[in-house]
Amino acid sequence: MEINGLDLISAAKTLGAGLAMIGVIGPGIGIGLVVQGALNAMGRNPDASGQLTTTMILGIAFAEAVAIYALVIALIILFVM
Amino acid sequence: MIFLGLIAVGVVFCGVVPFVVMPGMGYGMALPVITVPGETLTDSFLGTGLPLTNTIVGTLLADVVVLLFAFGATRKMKEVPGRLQGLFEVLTDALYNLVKTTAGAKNAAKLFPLVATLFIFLLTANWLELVPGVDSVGMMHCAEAGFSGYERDGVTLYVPKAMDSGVRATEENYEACHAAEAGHTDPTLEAAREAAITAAAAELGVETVDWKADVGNSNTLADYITAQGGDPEAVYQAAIEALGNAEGEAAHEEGATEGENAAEGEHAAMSPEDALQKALYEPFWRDDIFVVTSFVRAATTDLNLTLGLALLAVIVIQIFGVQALGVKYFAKFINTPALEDAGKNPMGVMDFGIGLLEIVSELSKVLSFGFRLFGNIFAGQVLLFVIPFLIAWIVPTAVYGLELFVGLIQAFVFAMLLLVFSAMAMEGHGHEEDAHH
Repeated sequence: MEINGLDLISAAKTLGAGLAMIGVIGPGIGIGLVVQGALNAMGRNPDASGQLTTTMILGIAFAEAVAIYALVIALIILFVM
Repeated sequence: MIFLGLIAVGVVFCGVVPFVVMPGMGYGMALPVITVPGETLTDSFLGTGLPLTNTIVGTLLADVVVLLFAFGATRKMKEVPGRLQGLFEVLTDALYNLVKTTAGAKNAAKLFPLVATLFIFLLTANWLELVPGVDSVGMMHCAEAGFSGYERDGVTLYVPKAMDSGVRATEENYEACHAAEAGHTDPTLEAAREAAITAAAAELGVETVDWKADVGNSNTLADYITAQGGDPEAVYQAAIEALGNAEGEAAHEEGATEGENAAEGEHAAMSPEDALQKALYEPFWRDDIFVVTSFVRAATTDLNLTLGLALLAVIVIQIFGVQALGVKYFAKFINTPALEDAGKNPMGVMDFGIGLLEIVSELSKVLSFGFRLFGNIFAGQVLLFVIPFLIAWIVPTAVYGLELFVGLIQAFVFAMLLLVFSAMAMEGHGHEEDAHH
């Protein structure tokens, strides 16, 4: 099979997208910590779980935003460039 | 019983339809084209000169759905609510309570309409990607270089086996396909092919020879004729004769169109002999690769919509802040009071610096609002495209459930962040001032 320039670009794109997604490790840990904290608090004070859930989801959203930046970079590499 | 019924329906639609029924009918599942910008359906919508993309259709569809539901729920309001009215009452009530607990009763009346509207609209727009037919039913056009597509079979895509992921188009494929679509094919070559196929059918004594079914992709017509026990040279002679006759008839027409042909220039005239040679001894089936552009695509998979909403959200936050605090609101960014107090409190200088950073954080809100929504929903869409081509059984259903959840959460997060930021902007440095009073 002959490998042309388009194949090489495609391979580089795939590798680049994969590397870009390394950035989701941090947010993954972060979201885990957020949920851990929220669950601890809910276990201690079940009455506050309503308020805590909302705040927890917001916290997750902030941590997730960073992962989304990595994802967007990967998507741009794959589908736009 | 209902559960068993659901499983049966799932088996039929996940297994029997894509793997047995559709290949039996000659259809297969085609991987939809994945592009970040919304695909253009027409360049000039109803003659206005504005391009219409499928994400705009998705946006309008989401609007219509929301309006229909809202209309249905509020048209005949009753003391004891019906189902739809009850659903809307529960939804509105829950949202209003949420706004009240987060922003306080005073600000709730002001924030609630915007927050609730955005939530309901985004929820509908996000969930639109889960409706069957969205993202998959559309029109065919040539695949651009680098995109995977399929060959065409009449008015449908030719997908050789179920769940085939297609062939990647090259630049030449696109050019040839586009030229053919626009009608720029070489008439001499087309006529030569026509003549060759007729002559071949006559030589082999069959009614007709089909390029696609009989000759195939990589074989030449000459090979086929030899394989069937015919003589390509005789076919060539017969076709030349047929072409010569046709040319005699069409000669005066040729004269009329000659000027045009000369003007185009690049389409160098091919002699009938060369054309026939090409038709016989070169593989015919042009690998035109087509993709499907869906008519509807979920609105939030377009960055234009999400960034637009993000800009709106951030501007509205500033407006709420100014309305609540007046000029003092800007002290959050250019913190002159802290600078004036610097004599008494040296930390004021740092507060001033932090205030400048607030401007950056305000700008980055646009990006984080817009990209969070877009990234989540677009990634979900890609996931829904790709998973059925990796594991076609059961797993796509789980992904469906996940996307249902993600769509809800992202709509909620967008509305919730707008609410929290607005509430923060309206309070300003409230706590410190309260402490002084």
